[in-house]
Amino acid sequence: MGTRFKTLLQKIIYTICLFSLVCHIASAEPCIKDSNIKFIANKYAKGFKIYQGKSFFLVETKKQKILISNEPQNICSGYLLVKSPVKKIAVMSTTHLAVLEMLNEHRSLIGFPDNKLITSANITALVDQKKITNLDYPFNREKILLIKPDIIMGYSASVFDEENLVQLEKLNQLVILNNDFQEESLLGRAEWIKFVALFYNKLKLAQKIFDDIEKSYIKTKDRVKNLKKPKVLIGQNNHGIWSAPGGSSDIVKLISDAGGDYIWKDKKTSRTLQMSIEAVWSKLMESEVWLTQNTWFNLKELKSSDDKYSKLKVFQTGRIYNHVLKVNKWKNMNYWETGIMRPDLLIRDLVIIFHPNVLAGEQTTWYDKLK
Amino acid sequence: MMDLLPIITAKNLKVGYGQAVILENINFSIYPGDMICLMGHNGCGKTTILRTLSRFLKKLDGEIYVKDQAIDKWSDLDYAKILSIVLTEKVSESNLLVKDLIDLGRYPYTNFMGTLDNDDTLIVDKAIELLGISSLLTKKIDELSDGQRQKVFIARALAQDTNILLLDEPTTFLDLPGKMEILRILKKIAIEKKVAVLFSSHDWQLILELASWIWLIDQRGNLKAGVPEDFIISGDFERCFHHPQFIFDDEIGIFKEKKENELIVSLLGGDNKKKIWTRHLLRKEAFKVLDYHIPGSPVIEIIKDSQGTDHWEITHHQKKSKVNTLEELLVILKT
Amino acid sequence: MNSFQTKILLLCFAVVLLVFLLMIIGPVNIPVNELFGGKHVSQWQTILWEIRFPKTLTALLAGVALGLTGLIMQTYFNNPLADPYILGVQSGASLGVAIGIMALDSVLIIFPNYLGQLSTIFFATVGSLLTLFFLMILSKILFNKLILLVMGLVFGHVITGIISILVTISESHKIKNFLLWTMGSFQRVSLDQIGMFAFIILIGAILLFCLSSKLNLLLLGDKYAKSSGLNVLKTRKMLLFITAILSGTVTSFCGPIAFIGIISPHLARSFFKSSNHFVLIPSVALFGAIMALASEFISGFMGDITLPINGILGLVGGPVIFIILINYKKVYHS
Repeated sequence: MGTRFKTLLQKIIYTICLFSLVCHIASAEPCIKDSNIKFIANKYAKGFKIYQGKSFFLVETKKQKILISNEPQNICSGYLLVKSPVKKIAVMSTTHLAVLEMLNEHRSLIGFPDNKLITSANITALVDQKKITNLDYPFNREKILLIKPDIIMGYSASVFDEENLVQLEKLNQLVILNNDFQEESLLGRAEWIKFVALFYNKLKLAQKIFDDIEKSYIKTKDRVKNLKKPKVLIGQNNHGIWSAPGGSSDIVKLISDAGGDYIWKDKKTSRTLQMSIEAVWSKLMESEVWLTQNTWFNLKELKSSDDKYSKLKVFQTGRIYNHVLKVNKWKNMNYWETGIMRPDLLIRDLVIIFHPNVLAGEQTTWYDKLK
Repeated sequence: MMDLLPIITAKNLKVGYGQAVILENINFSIYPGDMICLMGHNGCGKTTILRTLSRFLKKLDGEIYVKDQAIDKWSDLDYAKILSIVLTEKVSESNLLVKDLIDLGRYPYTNFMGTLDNDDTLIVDKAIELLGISSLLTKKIDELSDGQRQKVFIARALAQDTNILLLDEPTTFLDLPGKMEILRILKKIAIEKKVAVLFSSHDWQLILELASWIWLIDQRGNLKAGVPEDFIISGDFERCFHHPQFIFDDEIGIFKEKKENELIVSLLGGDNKKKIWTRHLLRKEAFKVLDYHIPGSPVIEIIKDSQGTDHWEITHHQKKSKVNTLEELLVILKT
Repeated sequence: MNSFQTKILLLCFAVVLLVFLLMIIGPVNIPVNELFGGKHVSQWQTILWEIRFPKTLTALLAGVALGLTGLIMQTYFNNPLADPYILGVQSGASLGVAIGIMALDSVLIIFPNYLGQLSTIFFATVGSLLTLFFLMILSKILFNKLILLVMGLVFGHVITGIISILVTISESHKIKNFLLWTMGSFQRVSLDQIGMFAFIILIGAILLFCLSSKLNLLLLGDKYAKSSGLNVLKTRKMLLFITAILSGTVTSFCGPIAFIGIISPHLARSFFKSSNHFVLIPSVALFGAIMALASEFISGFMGDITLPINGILGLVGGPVIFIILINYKKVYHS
């Protein structure tokens, strides 16, 4: 009796899985009755797919199917309909801010979780004009209902984030999921400018901006292709554990393209590495350049965090850098806003650091030597 | 008495904890209206019997019939209508109102909401009246004195309206008047309510005075039932509480310290009362008291003087002293 | 109208007042005419009924459940310091959520087009149900108050250990999310979920009230209780079960809310000067509701930032309760 039940259960589970798989595959094609749908491929980004129809755009992400148009449309169920161009938007990530500014649509921003995190001069000006409501995180639902954005652009890195987005959906808000951080490379992440541009009918502008970014990036990359790569260290000591990005992270790809050799590039994972400081000490001693990638503004903060750092060779040579240029009055760094979305400028910064002779005379945008 | 059926009958009962047998070959019958004091030295098994009868402990062997049914066949709720208990241990939740506590005695009879109907209220009121505690009803348990607390818990057990009332050392922590009052109440419960009252006690002097029936657990672990005086005469009493440093004075019924070199003293004159208590004090202080005069030993004479008050006169070695209290007498005798 | 009724009415009034305040006052100012009958499909109505109403009702119900479970645990273990989490159910829920937030990288692929079908509520519920299951088995094997207490403690520590390992290997964003969850919030329950939440808590509360005379008997100790005819084992198992369900439900929907469970029974005992559960159960429910509603009210005070519930209960609640209990010091003889 027990085994019969078990087999039945297995059959049921299998059927459910198969059914959902079929639905998933079946839904891979857009269900719009328009034979002129054109698929517009991305160069790097894997998180979204754009289709262009006669009077609309269709974008599909892992979790959503969104139809964007400035005309009324008949849609099948499961699609979100967004009227373009969007006039009022609330976003949850600083990277979304950078994209809006690049598209010159930052004036549509009306809400953000914490205005103190905003580093762009233009958007800060809007904050001063009281045009952007501080929404806290999770978003204050009453305030959202008051400011009535056309869409909310959010991200979800955990169940907790998802829950908050669902709560907003329950209030009949249009929640668009923009998980640009899930891309494997910074170019892929930067390509999300096209995703955001769809909501403003500015796809062509976005494509141009991205093409320029890509060209500049590749040009800089080519200049350092054959140069000797310095050993690059990232991270810091947290109570005896050295945390650093895994070898497949987007920052490591950037370092590699900028002509650097990340000392843990062989650890092929995109998760953060947690290593015992004793085990990695010899590797630390071999490093030639150290990008701290944290909140240290000067060497004093570095030393007071752990005096062992002064024993490192890289400390003696002084090649310790962090993205401390461009901060707002709350000491929040613009790197996290614009930096991440401008890989072309980032690679220049790193090339200036790794190979000073190549871009001699140029100034870094975000990175600076710690003094 | 003959047409009354026993409430509890035990045959060849063996009680103890797991492997440890405390008492065996126990046989008894308890009838309605019995007031039985269970006595024996510490650790002899009094509490074990009470626990077994209360069903906190399983019997090791033998039979116990309660109202003609084996003890373990009764459901908890039905058994609660037959037997109620009063324990010595202090209840830790002392914030309960006395009235609420007594009402809880009706638990086996009320519905889940605990509401008392007219019959319940009547029984509770009768219990309160019998115990004389109507002035205590609005107090909290921890505001009561030991004696009052004892009475309140007895009232609760009485409100449970059972055939048997078991009490574990109900008089132990009370002062003498308190002890006497509890025993008086228990007697009243037994007689008026026809409840069988079984309790354990160490206060053998009081029991000797007030109890007509006791169960004695002797040194060998045998349970014997009988009148206390029989046990004194037979020597069971002394054997039961035997202690190397004490001897039992079986004329008075007290234990006194064994002392070497008993001194002899003669006591003459006086009325019954003064004589009895002078003798009591002398014997307590290890003097052998004689009614006649022996040369060489002190003579105490109780004399009434012209005003009608008594005083004591001690004559020893031709020296005569006159005292007005037994305390002064003692001082002189000791020197 | 006797003293008991007056006091209960006073407490009810406090609850109603807090509910009223929570509905009226919030981050956004609602025009007065909208408060009492306005157009029905406007944002004001949405704010009132889809945001403020669920959070108020959640706070009220959670407070009731926490107060009651705290009282039951204090009676069960005969320990004035017992709280609803003594059994370790909250630890199980926390572990479930910790795994959900920190150990899972992306939410399951089975339902690709639904945003957030699996929520913290789901993970917390699974965690607490598994703990409850474990607890029931344990109580079958060894039914001893002391052992149960120790097991709850041990379980709590083991879970804390596992969670700390998860924290070490997670990225900071997820850790912050988990931390936010542990702060407790009454705003996670939406209108469509409040029905189930209310159902479970009301059933639990009514059941506990019906067990009042049994609870009173337990106050006298197991011996008196048994000799009064109470099936002590069955009653204790039932109390454990109801407590686990109620405290598990509150933790699942709101996160681990501290303090209310341990303190409201003491407030009720001082205020009503009684240990009778027929009196205590309604009063503890009301005190719990008042504490929860008050902390929700204070949390919205800062305008821009929502203060965490557990923070308020600790910082503000602690001294307030301290003062109240000192004034009622005559009640307790520990």
